[in-house]
Amino acid sequence: MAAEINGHPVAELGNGMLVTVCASCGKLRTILFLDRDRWLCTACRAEGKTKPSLYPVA
Amino acid sequence: MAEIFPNEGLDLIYGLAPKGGTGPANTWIGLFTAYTASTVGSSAATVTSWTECASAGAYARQTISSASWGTVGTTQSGRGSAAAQVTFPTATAVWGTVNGFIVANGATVNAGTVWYGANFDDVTAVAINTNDVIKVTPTWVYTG
Repeated sequence: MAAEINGHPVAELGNGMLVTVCASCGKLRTILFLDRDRWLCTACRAEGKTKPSLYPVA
Repeated sequence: MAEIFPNEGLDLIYGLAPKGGTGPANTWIGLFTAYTASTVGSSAATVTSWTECASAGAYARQTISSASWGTVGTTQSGRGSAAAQVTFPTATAVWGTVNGFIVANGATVNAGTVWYGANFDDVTAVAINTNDVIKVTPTWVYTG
């Protein structure tokens, strides 16, 4: 189960508890969908957000 | 979004204080398809009122450890807390269109007592289809 993904954006809730946030918009939502190797909120998933390219090719 | 402690959830709270009862060791989170993305059951709602996803396609309630609940803080409507995120098993069939989550007293689907129910915070209904994997953050808000 890909519940924990190294390097995935998280937020701290104030008591040291880390929660996964949307990999696209960064918002904490009560429901996230796994899209390949990242979690997306409903809105970003519906918009078909794609993973940012870290190595753009000219 | 809407949320509610139906009467049977209030009974739990009443039993704890002022009656001095013992709270549950754990709770279980499930998904409901009744109502809408911005409405929940009434005070009289019981487990069947919520139309939980069927126990098929790998759907199952997930345990929320009592120890996983975070710090209680002030919310827009009262005092609330969130528990550690819960990842459901990969759907192996369509679970339906889900409008929110319930927190219940047992693992058995469509049985037991529903203490709390709420919509997702983005007030959007979500269709859970085959191969979907979802992660839900349980929340619990006491309205003053």
